Amino acid sequence: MVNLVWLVPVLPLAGFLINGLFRNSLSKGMTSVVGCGVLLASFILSLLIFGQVRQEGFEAVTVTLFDFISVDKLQIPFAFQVDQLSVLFLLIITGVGFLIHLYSTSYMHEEAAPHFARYFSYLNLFVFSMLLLVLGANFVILFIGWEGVGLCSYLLIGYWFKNVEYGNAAKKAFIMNRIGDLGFLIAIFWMINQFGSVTFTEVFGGAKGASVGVMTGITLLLFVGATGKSAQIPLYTWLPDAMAGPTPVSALIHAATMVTAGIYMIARSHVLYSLAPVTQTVVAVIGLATALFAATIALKQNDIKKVLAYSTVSQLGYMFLGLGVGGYTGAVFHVMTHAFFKALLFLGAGSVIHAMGGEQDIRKMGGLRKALPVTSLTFFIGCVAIAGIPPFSGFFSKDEILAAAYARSPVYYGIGLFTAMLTAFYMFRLFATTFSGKFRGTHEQEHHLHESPSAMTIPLIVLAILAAAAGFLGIPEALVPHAHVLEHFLSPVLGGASGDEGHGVAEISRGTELGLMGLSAGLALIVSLWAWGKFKSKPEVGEPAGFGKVLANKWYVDELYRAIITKPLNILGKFFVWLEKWVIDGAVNGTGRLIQYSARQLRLLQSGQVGGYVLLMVIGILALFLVELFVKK
Amino acid sequence: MNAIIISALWGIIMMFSGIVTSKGSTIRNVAVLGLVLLLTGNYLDLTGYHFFPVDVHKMLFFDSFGLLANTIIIGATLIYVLLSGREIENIAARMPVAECFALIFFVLCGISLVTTFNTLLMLFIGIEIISIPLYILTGSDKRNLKSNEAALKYFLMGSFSTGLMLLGIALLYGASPTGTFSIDDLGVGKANLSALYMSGLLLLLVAMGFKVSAAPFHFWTPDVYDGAPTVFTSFMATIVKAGIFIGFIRLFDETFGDSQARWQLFVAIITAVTLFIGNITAVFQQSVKRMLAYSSIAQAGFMLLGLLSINGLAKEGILLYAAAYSLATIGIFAVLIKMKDYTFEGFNGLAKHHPVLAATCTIFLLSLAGIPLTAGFFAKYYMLASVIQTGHFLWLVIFAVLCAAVSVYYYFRVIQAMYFKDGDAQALELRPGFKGLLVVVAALVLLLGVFPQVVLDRLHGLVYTW
Amino acid sequence: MIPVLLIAIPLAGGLAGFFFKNSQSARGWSLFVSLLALVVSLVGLSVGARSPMLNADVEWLPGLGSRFAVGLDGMGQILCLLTAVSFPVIFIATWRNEYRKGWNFYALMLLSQAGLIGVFLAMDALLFYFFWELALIPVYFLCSQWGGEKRIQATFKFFIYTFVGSLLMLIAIIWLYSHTPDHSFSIKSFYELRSHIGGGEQLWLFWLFFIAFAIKMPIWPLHTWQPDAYEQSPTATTMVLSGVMVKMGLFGVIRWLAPVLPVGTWAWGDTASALCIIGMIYASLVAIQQDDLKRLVAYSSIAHIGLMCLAIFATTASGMQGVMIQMFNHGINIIGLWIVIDLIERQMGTRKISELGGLAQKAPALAILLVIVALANVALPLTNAFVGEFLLFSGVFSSKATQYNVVFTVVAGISIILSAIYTLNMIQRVFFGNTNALTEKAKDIKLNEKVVLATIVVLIVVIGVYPKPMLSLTKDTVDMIITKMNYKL
Repeated sequence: MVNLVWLVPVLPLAGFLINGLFRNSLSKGMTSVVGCGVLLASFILSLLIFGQVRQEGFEAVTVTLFDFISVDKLQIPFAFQVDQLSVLFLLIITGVGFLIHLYSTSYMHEEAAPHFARYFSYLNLFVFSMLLLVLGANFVILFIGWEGVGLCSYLLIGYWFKNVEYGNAAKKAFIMNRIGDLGFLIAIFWMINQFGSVTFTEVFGGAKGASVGVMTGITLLLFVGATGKSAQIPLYTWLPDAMAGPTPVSALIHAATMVTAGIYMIARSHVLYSLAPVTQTVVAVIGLATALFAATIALKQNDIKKVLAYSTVSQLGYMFLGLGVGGYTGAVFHVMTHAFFKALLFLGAGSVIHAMGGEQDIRKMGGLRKALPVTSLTFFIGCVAIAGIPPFSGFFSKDEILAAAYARSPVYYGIGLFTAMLTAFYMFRLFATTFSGKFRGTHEQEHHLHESPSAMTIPLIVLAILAAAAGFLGIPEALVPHAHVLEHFLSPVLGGASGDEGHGVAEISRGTELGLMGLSAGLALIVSLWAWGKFKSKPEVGEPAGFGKVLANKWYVDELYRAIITKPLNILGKFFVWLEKWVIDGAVNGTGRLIQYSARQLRLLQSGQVGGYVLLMVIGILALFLVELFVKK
Repeated sequence: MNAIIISALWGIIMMFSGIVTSKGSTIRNVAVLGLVLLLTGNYLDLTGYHFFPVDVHKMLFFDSFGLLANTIIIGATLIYVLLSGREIENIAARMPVAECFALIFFVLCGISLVTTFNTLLMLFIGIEIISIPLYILTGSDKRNLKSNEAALKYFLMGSFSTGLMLLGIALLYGASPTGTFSIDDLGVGKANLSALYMSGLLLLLVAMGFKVSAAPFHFWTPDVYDGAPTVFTSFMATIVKAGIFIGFIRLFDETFGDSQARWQLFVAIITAVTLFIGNITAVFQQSVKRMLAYSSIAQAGFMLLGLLSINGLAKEGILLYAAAYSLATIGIFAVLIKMKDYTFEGFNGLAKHHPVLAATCTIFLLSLAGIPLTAGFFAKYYMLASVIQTGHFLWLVIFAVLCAAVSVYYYFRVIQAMYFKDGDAQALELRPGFKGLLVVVAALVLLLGVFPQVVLDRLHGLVYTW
Repeated sequence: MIPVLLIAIPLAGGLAGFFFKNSQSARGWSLFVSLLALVVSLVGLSVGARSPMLNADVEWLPGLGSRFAVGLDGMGQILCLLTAVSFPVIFIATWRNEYRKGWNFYALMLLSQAGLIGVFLAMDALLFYFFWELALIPVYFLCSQWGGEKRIQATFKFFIYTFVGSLLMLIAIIWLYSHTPDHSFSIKSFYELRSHIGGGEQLWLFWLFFIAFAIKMPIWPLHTWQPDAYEQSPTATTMVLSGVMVKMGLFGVIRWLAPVLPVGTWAWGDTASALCIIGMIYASLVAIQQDDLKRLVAYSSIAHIGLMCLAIFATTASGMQGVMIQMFNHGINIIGLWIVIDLIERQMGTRKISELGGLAQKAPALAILLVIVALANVALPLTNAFVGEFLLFSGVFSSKATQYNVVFTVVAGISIILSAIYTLNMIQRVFFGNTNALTEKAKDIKLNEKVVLATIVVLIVVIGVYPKPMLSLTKDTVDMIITKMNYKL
């Protein structure tokens, strides 16, 4: 069964080809069947593989398809690696992916058939690349998937290509990712140079031998790649703009799967990271900073998707904090729970936007609870989960990270906790302004408010259940000993009970841990209730002023980048164009003109006067004699 | 020997033919016949049949190098007469055809002296026999002021250079202990030279340089070539120049060969100046005829490279160069004569109206520019290779190729005019025979460019045997 | 046998083409001839590397020690394949273009093909020089006869520029020849020269060669002929120029410079690499500023070639492998781009990016094919260019020939980002967004164009996913070159 793993990515690829090539002939119904069918098939396949992998003492299996590149010593096979980590991601990707495909069938139904097919082909292609990413048995295959998902996100953000704004957002996403990818690439070259291989097993095997400097270098470069893909400081600005894409896309790519690729990659190469303490600190600090920074921006956003986008950035920051402090399991755990509740939230938002006829500004909403019971309920569960209120999934995963952070340094914990409170605050601000209070939209919007069709609500419900229950996969030791199923499951990949050396979740006492848990849970609860109460009666509908304005304008980071990067590059380019015309090419043409000029001058010697000629001849003769006399040979 | 005597005799015959008939075509045929005779005679000489067993007392020395040169030159003359002979009649109104041909034969006689001289006296006589008829031919277009002016200029400056030459010879005579003009004795073992000897050498260098129009002694060339009737310009620029060059090489190889180190620098300087002036000035010209005059200077510059490094390659090369350059230039002049308008504009759109003319002309120009697949390439190749083989003067080689690149500029202007510019280039009436011959010449140029071996093998054998 | 055919077929076909006097039949004929050449080159691939059919050596100029020696090694194979594939593709893609006196056009095209193949096959320095020029002359006539309004100046500049370079190369060739013990132009004698000439000579000889090749590639700052020439030439010729002809420069460095003058190459490696890198960044930044599609692609090509040249001087097997495969890929991809641009220009009558937009709505098929080719241009994984550039970069990074390898890799890497910028800008502004009055009437592509573009796309993906055959084809050549390059005095 495991050897059939190649089918898992190949099925979506087939879907992509079918929907892509026959987009003009396929009916919407057929397209949906193909699009969702392949995903369902892959999901079932993944489940079967999972069934095999979860048995005790399963050893990681490598399935080699063919030689991709083999140049003198360097061998890069096109191979997949099946182990606990990749299977977990398989389930998340195919499972959540399927739900979102299903959701899309109805969300996108207004599109014309060819574009509908184009949408699904892109979506399938994305899943294919994502699966390559998590299945790859070496860094190159991982990178192929890595860039592949980047491409798909580009295509899907710019899906409505008539809109120039969307196009620019797509471009921004692609280029920002490219910057990160360069770091990743160089890291790969460095590995080739260092270990003569890019295969996980060989690289990790050789890592022990390499100097700390090298490991730090490689890991830092890898992390640069991660900051691009997973939207961390300084390369995060593309993600909020990426909300230009259709909402299911935001749910799938920009919340549940692609953006967590960075976390996957670092968790996958945790062996390298545990050898580079410096990098770990960098990762933790960047993650924490991003978490806090994005959370503050989220406080003042009024576009329902933007709020979720920034909350995603912030949550990703959390995961990096987890990775940085060595809580790899925690990070992966949070990836999973986050996939559930954030996908849920986005799909909920989509359902709202759908109901509002495309309106995304929460100031024009309110009181949608009555009109959209299912949506609002599921959305509420999502909020509770992300806010970290027990016993919902967010609480467990986030707490595991916080505990790990505390073990590393209370400062991490403090900031992390504060961020958590901010999260709870803006999420409930969002919920309250959207669903409670009274409706603030136009009239026709009001009377065409309606609950979304079942194709959209079913995924919501499923995800809601997952978001609510998934936490119990990782009940901390402190509460119930040996109940952390996930950690147990992942231990073959990520190391024994909360990992190997280099991180110390285990080191804090049970008492402190319980205390911390209680504290964070309590605070989260209080803040949530406060925010809810604050905004359900009188939501802020005006333009923010003072510091709020700075937050609403995202700390003016985009403007900053434009000023210090885009502009200078443009100026430099213009200068080069000038240089080209007047200096370099000028020199070339100048030579020509010089010849023309000297020709005009020399011609004057040809006076036509015999006397003149003879004179010149004589001068010439004299010159020769002078040379003979005075130049010593 | 055969060449000298036959050409002299036939020159006289041509004169008398003018009395018998004034019919241009007949006279021309007689001339052609003469040339054929000359060619065969000279060739037989090469293979060892001497019609006239005369003892020349070492005044002349018939080595295969000289004789081969004769063959090439006479062959070129034949082609020249066949291509443009008719044009001589067009100026016949003012100048009896017969006499023109007679003069041409006398020039050939002079050339065959210059290519086989063994004493400086013979060289001098040969040069004079060449020059005097040329003065007349230049001025043959009596009614044309430019022609007359050119003739006068040519004569004045020519006599000046003659003086220099004589002086040089005299000095060398004085310098030679035994008192001799024979280059065998003048040449031997002159490692360290007296000032007298050196001055004589330099004066000869100047005088010969004047004849092959090497800068700065080239000033007569543009005016004379421009003024003379085009048909004779063609003759002077190719056949005569090639002939004198053979003599030039012969002189400096046989006589001054041992002291090469002493004079190489001068030749290098003259070469550089010639290349520079020739190519650069040609760029500016508006008339193709005048451009060709300058190009002939530039080409002379390239041939001087062979003089600089006198070695096997150089001698092979100079012959090949003579052949390649003469063929191409004769061809172009033959086309040029047919043009109504000698300016570059006059060639606009020639390709549309006369594709054959344009195509052949292009091949000739490519050859002059030294593009591979044409004879010109190998000619230039040999010149460069000969200098590189000496191991010195690399700067000159690089300078030379840069000049060659410049030459592309003015040669391709003609090609551009013919092919890429629109216009209605007017050409006078063209006989199929003429076109056919042009094609043959072009084919010859290409053949020499792809398989120079056909000539080279002979050269190789001959040049290295003596 | 096969190499002779490869040269003779287009040569004879071209000469015959002059006598057609009818564009349609000439077009058909030239397509037939080029396909024939393609078949022969495929046969050449099939007979196996050791086959005697891959070499031919006959007396040519015994007096000069030059022979008509031609042979197909790995590099020759891959480049001949590129040439042989390109020409039919070009003929089909520009099938609908009408040329005044078309028969001359097609004849000259075939002649240039003969010249190009000759360059790639010549195993004799003088022969190499011959073909080097033979390839140039027809292109000169093609460009200045059928090009744009500023064609004469642009092409003339191009011609003189390259002519200067090749003359300098000629000097170097003669110099080396005169130093060969057996007075021979054969590549073997040239490869043995290293032991006869000192490092001092190699230092200046290097430049005589490199300038010639650098002009052809072109390498900054000797590149200024290129954008004008590409812009002014008829698109079919531009495809030849950029798809195949620029490879002559790279090829020259690999076969005639690096192995012959290892010391010079090693001594000047850093200087040359620096030029390449400056060129990459420079060209990319200039490309971002371009508004003319042709110029944009021209500059992007400068950047890509610069990378390949950089990898040559890295002197690593992986880098050299990258160059080999990338020479092919670059040719295919850029021809694809030209085809699209030609289509746009013929339909819209303009190449100005600012005047276009929204074509994706009117010509979806074209848009999709272009996007794929463009993605190959930015070396996205699973396209052919990724394999190439991956090897190139890893070669540069692991280079032992320079101590700046890391700097080189990083700075050169920036051009990857820049290339993404200008390529996406182009797609964005030409194909996405809303249509304007001009692009309203745009139509989707016709069958012949679809076929060639599809072919190119298939090649792109196949090589991108399974490059192994390509790589193994050139393995021996690469090892040979690298061992020769590693020679130190």
